[in-house]
Amino acid sequence: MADDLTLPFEVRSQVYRLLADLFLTPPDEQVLTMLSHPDFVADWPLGRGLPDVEQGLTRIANALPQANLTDLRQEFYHLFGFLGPADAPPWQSVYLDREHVLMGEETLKLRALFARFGLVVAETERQPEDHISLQLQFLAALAARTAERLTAGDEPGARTLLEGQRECLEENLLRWADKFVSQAEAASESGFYGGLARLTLGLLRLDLSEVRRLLAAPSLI
Amino acid sequence: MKPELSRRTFLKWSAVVGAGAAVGGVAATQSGLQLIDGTASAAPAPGPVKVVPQQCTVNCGGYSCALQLHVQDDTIIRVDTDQMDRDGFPAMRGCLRGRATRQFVYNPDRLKQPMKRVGKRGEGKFEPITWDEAYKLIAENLDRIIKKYGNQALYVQYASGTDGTTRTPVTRLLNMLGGYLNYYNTYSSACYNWAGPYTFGKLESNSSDDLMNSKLIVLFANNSAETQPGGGNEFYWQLKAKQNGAKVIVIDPRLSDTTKALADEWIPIRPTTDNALMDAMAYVMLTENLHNQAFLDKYTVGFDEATLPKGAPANSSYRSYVMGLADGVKKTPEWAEKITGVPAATIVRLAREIATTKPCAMIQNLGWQRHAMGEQPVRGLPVLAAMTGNIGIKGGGPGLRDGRKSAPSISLAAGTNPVKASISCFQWVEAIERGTELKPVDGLLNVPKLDTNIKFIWNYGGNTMINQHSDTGHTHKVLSDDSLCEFIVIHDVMMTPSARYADVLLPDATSYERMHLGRGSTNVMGDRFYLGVPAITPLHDIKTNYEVCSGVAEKLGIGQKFTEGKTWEQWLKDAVNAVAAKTPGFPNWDAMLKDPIYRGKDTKPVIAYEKFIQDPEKNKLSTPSGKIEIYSEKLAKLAAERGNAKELPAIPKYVPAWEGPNADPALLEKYPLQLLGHHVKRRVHSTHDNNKWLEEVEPQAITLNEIDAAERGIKDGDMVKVFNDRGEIHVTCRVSKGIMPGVADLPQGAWYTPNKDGVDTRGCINTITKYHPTPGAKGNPQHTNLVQVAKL
Repeated sequence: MADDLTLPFEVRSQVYRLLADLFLTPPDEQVLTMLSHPDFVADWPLGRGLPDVEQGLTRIANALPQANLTDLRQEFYHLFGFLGPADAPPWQSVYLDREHVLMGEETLKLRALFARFGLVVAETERQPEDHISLQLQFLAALAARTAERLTAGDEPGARTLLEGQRECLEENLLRWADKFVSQAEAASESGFYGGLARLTLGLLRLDLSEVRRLLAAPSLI
Repeated sequence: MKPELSRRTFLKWSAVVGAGAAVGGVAATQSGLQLIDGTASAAPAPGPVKVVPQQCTVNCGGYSCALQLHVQDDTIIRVDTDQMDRDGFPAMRGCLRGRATRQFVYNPDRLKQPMKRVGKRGEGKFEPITWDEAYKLIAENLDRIIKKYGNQALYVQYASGTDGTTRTPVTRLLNMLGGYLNYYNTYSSACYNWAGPYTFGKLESNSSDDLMNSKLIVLFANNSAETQPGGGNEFYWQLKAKQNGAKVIVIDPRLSDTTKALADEWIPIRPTTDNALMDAMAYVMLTENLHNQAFLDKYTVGFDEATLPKGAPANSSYRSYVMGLADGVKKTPEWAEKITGVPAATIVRLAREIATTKPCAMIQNLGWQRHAMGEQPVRGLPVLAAMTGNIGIKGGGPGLRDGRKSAPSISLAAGTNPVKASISCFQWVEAIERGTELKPVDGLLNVPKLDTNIKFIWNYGGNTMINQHSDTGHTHKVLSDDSLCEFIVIHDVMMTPSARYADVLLPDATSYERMHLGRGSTNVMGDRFYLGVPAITPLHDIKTNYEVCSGVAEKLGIGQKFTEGKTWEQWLKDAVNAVAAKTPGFPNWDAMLKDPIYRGKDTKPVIAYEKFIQDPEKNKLSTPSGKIEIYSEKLAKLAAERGNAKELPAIPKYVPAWEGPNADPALLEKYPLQLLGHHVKRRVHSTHDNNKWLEEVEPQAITLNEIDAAERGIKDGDMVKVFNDRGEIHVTCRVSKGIMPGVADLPQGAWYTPNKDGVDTRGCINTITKYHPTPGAKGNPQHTNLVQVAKL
């Protein structure tokens, strides 16, 4: 019974951590090997059957056989502004802040949200809080903690964590993810990062509806 | 939430992604998010807002306007400016560019970590490297190139994206390594600073507050409302003078913002022809006897035959030239009308008005000297100032640029460059291709020839590597061949078009993230902003110029010698205290940390050459004759050596430009429009071109007169192509009455963005400009262009 309750959160935590890494770090041989494993797409654990998820997975699967690591790294740099200009800026404030630059009110809002759950961006991490990767890390952390609270039978604790996830999804990520995904798709030459972005959008939408459903339920346990 | 898979399948997938063991029970991934003190605590309240005084450091030629950055939790949340007006001392109020500072500092496109080129040079492919690898690469290449080619192979490129003292570490480092090839001139003022001294020796101007004493102000190529709109700059005083009752006339091919704001009369003129206008005004004054002969006799050389130096040919005086004694052509208003497009009657009226309104301030600025024969107008206007006796008096002036008051300057110890050879800053591409063939007649200074071509370029905060230099197509060709210039280091804030040509590309701190002294310019009233203290922790993985040069010095084994064990802050502190020690009233370091603005006290205007006019025998000018040299023997001698006396006459003359209204008729038929690239207020040169707020203010576009547009079937807002034999640009067209027919204007500084066919798609004027150094200064003629425009 406990397994039925916690497994979905363990899955989401794992998936979000993977996506967070892929949006933050340039690909290397190891990542490429992992992504090219036949079970990676075949056994993809979340959101199967949803159009955005399936479309994203198909694009990833199609892109990988031809993918050349050098080109994929260049695509990563140019899309996400890793070295300089970004074709698909991965920061919320660029889309939503009134000045459309980094470190806007949107960034400070996320800083406050993270802090409410005792989380702060490490000093070694040079990204502002509103980077998509850090928001996915936040969701991963809260999903993992939700599983813990559910196992411990702490329903109020789990609800607080679900509310945090809802806020991150509804009031933050999903207000700009569609624009980010369109820009990433338009500029992704290999199709890989366009696919990854599309897949992510599908998962975020699914997740918001699940989190809302759980919050509306009279009892979680 | 229903599981869509069994735990077994999930674990299988987890094993593939390689992190199965970490699933569950972890609060966050190890890379980015951390628990605060290991416990979940309540959100900390936002910190207090502090106001950090800082300065805008773009190179507008203004005065480092004062910004007040509102900072909360290490984040600039608001940009304000100095509002402290004092009587006669206007606030150093920032303009639109300074106020768009958050758009610069927090631009998502900033360079973020050190990198090296991996593709073909200029292709824009880089891989990240560590700072240590970057220092090692630079050090190895410096060492290799010095050993192989000698120190003349090193070149520190002209750059103006950062303030001067911030640039010093590069020259200090290279001096310690045996030196580098020098440059002279700037891309801004080559002809002005080169030609002006042939007339006056040391250049002076009446300070702008003296305009309050002027009855008539005539501005030539002077557009301070757009070039330096901030604070207490020239425009402030021009406006005050206008409000004080002065009449203002502006001579400019464009209806500039300055003209719109100030002018009682706008006189549009064809670019490159201002000397014809001035010559014809001299003709009117002479024939109507409106000039001040006594002034000319007493203070000048070579206006008349009688004051020519011994040995000057007969009929070589300015009067003889104007009256047609040498070439048989009288420089009448009708003659000038055909060249300039200014009606003869207007020329007559303007000449009379200037000659009979006292005092009259005739002020030039730099636009007209970035031309094919840019030396001529610089020396031309002072002749009218002398003819009307306006030099050395209140409300008048010598016909040079707007003037300022001085404040002490601070410099850092760069050491001495053992290499003496120097080229014009405009000649670097030529020095890559054929440096060893350059000779003194080409403008090479201090040596008969160079031992090597340029092989190594260090560019700190500059975009002349391609964008701001003439003929981008040719520059691209030369730079793409990395057997010519073998190594290029670029250190900048943004991925500029120049940065794409780096072999090692380093991300710099903005001036709001590092400690820095102000720019080397002085305020009209002596107010000057000296010290910028970092407002925020640097973003990304960036390092300052001092850190970079220290790192490279370390790799070359001269780390201690280079730094003397001092931090950057200690260098600045020592420099400030050294000036304070010998300058009464100048703040020391501690005082400056409290108030970085040094406030002027002198309310008395500066009158240029006042002492010389009072007693020309006792207070001689620094020209060879000690007088105002309308005829320069020194220039005659230089032109004879160079064999270009026609283009570089001893008196200022109208010399037709190779691409102007008197160019080869076949060329004019093919390319009938003169194209200018004025300094637009939404950029400073190329700085801020990627600033979205400023682009909204004034989107990049070419402006055509409505007559020229109608002939071409072009409507306002159409996309057009602008082209000549050197290149092609696709850009939006603005159709206007506010520009001289036959003239087009494409503001300089837009970032060169070639498509796969090499067509620039952003509106970078240097796509079509010509590399053709001016005859004297070897300066850049980037406003001299013939083009055709057609609807796309």
